[in-house]
Amino acid sequence: MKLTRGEQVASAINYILLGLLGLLALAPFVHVLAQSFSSHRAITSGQVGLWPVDFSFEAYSRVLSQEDFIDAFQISTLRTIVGTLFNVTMTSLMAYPLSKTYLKGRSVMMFLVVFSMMFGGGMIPTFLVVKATGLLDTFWAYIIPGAISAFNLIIIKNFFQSVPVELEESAKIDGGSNLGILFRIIIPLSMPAIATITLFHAVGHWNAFFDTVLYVTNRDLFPLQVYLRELIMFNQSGIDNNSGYSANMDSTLLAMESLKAAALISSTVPILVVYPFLQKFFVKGLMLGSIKG
Amino acid sequence: MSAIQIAENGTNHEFTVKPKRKRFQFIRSHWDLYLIMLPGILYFVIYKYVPMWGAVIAFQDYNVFKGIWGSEWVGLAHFKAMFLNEDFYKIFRNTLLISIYKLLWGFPGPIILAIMLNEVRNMLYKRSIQTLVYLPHFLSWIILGGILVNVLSPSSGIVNKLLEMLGIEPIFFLTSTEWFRTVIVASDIWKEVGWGAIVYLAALAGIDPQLYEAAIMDGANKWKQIIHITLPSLMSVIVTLFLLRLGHVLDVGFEQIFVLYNSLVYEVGDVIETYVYRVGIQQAKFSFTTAVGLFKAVIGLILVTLVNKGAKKLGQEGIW
Amino acid sequence: MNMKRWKPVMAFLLIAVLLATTACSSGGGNSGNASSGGDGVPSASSEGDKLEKKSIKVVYNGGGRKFPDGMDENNNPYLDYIKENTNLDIAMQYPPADGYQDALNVIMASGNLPDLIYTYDASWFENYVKQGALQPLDEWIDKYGPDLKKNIPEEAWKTVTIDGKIYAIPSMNAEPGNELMYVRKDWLDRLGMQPPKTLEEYREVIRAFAQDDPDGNGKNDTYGYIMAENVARIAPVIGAFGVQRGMWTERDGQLVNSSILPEMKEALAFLAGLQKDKLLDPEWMLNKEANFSEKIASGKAGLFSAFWYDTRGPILTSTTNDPEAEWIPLEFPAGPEGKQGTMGYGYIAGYNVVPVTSKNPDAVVRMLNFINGEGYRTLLLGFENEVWTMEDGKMVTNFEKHNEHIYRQTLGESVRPYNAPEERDRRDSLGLEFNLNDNIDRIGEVAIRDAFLGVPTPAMGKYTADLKKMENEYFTKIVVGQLPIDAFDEFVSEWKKRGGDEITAEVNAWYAENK
Repeated sequence: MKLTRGEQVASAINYILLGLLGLLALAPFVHVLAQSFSSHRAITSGQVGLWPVDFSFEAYSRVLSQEDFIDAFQISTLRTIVGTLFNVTMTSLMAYPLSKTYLKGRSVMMFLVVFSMMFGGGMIPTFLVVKATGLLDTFWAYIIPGAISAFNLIIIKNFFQSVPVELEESAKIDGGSNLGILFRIIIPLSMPAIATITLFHAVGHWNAFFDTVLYVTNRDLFPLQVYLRELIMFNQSGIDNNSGYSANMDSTLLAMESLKAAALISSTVPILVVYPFLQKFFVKGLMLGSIKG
Repeated sequence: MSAIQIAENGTNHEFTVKPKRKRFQFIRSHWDLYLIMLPGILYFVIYKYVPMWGAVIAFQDYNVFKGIWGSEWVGLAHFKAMFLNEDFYKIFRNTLLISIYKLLWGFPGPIILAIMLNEVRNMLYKRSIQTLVYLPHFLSWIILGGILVNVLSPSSGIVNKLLEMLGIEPIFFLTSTEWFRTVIVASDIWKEVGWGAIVYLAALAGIDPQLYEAAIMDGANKWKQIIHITLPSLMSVIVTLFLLRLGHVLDVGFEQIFVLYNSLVYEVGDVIETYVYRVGIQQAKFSFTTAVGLFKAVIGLILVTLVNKGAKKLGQEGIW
Repeated sequence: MNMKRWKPVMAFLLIAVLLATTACSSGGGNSGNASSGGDGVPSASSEGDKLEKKSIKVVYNGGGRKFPDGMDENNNPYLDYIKENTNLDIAMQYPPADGYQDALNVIMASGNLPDLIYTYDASWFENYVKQGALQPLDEWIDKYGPDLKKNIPEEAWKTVTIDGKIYAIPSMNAEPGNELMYVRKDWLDRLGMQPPKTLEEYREVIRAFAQDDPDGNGKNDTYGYIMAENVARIAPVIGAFGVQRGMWTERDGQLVNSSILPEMKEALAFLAGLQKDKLLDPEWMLNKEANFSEKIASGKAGLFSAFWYDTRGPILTSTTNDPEAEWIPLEFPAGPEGKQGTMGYGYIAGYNVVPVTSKNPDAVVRMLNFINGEGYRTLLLGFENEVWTMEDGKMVTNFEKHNEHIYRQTLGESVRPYNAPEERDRRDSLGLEFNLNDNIDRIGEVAIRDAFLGVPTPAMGKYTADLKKMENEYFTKIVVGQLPIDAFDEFVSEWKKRGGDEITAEVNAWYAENK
């Protein structure tokens, strides 16, 4: 397939613009990465840009050797895997019937889903329900109260709807049940969308922290984000310290900026790795291939 | 237990309003579809709709210790307090302006990015850029804010160094009332554009390549392919996301504003969320916060309903 | 993806599942279980034996302090130390430090209340007293709190007394105030100047630091004075005019807010003058902790209002960056009328409260009395001969142990006595070269304290946040020159109109009762 001259120029510009955007997006990350390998002194005197100063692994060895870090990391991983599986299953199960335009009561239900996105009971009523359902202080407090995101449900329903009806009809004639059609036809054909919400939920679980504050008191269940926030908080002192809350004064010598950066990198990289694995589902032409296969 | 009872009543209720027999027959012949949905419906009822009665505290002087039944009713007092605040008009205006700018500039961003990525043939390049652009989403505003302050510094920031080379006077971006909103919108795009593009990339992946092949046979150039194939295929996702976005038109992103604003730009940067934070932090003002949330949700709901209707008239799916 | 690579992941998953389930099952059972932890071990302290064995549930803010591997909030020698000496069984709960107040609110809503909660939020405290959620402690303090009564001054008790009853046992602030002036002596020497004493002399130093190349590098790259966002780090400067921002002070028998006094206007005019002559860091209004410290550490500023512990922070970094840098504390600038002053802290750092549902207020007071009295030295400093030793009458701290045992301070600071001698030892033990006690003493001499000691009034709850924001806005604009000095008068009338008068009335009602 040949491109015209104009298309070639446009394509070149496209490559360059994307490249620039990529660099612009990479820069802050590299900055934090550089900090994580630098000394506290170099960071606090503003010497660290995109390259480490006083290179050392010390910050990482300190973050990673903490038993608390490992524990929290395990909780976060478990939560992300179990939670995401649960989310995707629940969402798909609900989205499939809702994608059937002929289903009675569908639009009422869709409205109620959208409505629930905007009106919430707030922190305490939700807490009371979580408590009443016996989830307080259990691992399931991380999983069940956020089982379905209305936003993702609507996205998935939308994608399911775009699967050609004929495919389904023919499967039905072959005697397939609804559940069978969902798992054998709809979901394989909607893999890009499934991959998308998998990513959204996985990142959401990985980064979540507030549900721990509200629902979990057992420190053994604390995830990585809580560990990270406590580490950073412990090392912080405000600029406007009129409250007298200088409780962490003793830590100022420990207040290693590099420690914060290393903690951030160590907690972000694991979730970043998920995306490249899901990327293959965004490849063009997937639909055609799976229909033929 | 009572939650489940309500759940059952709720579902029954929905299907028993209209002519009973037809409805019953329909449900019987599609019972498996309803069964599949049941866990989801239960979830929404228990964890979304049961707590929703909590919103009545917007009309109470809510006392955590006494609970909703024991708290005192105050009618519209909290709404009055909000509307009568001397700054309310200014805060509402700022919120709306920042939100509209973000919608205007920020909403098309991911769509354009997705299409641009879609046109890249070199798979390695495409994948690398895709992975890079979504990185800033994972950094908090606290970190990005610190970086922005340095980058935009009039004395040492790289942006002003570049402007200086072009012979332009240094600009004090973060303390200038003219520039502040621009910085907010632009930096928001920088942070979220790659992340936002993912949904569109997924939609693009679903386009049948045969469509493009046919178009090429007809002699359509790239530009025409984008206009006539790519965009229409994205349309239903675009409409859906736009509608969902409208529902949160008065949420402009607390953390970003909070990190970036300062006393010189309160005039243009103080928004509903920073206001609620200010008032709420003073005491656990659950009732007041809920009232503000209710207000925001009503505005959002009105907008979504109107636009949803409009979209349907224009032949689009709409959300419901 | 081949299977081999997934194997460790699967194994790990299994372990994690096991961990989680065991954690869940143990989590449910331990609340409120009285006797299981005690094991009937006879208490070490003879006094402990006399008192009834009780068990209490406590919610504290761990502040993000880490425990050594294998220990946690319920399993560490310092908690054992308290238990043994009080004959109490104590179950601790440390919610996430970031989000602590939210956690307290859901705990209050849960109906499953502990016996003791610590909060540092005065409004929260006042709010729940008003809601009838907390119980008065007078009776128990009289009975079981002799050390508390001794170590906590009258002013502090006033602050926790509502309608004549004591609703909290306060933890005291260890420091009298926050800021004092530090200057780079090497810069002064290079310019041939003496350490400034009066505000006029300060101004001359500020001018010279901005214009006369104090670092001798031939570049115009230094600031005369550096402040921070919301016009922070100016306490000694406005102290020279005898005021501090937001503080209540007596004028003609009435309390007035210092932020609206004419002296404040003069102080702002002084700062605006510095800005006009381009002597300040031009980006001060954006300075947060990080860039503020950075400018000091990198040698851009040689005069600033330091927190008393900044000698271990930016000042230390500055001297490691530049061996020539020599920082010395200054006398507080004396204003036109010879006044000196800096921001003094309130007396109270936090509140220990007992929900009405608790059956064990007596046990709570017993625990706090021990922490505050007999146990304080150990809980603050750590175990003797483990964390620290006395050598020739001086305390020597083993810093590695100190950091390892840092978690003990959550207990120690929960009910800190006023002006305890241990505080000096602790500060000295952090390094004599940092002059911490000297800094504290200097601040203590001139600290301006708030004359209003009551709990936040209702109008404060309603208006303070907005008033504070308006004050920041006006003050910043006045100093940078966006508004003329006389806009201060407009600020004053706005302040009064927007709730300031109402607050003033309530404050004076309190003052009339408690003078």
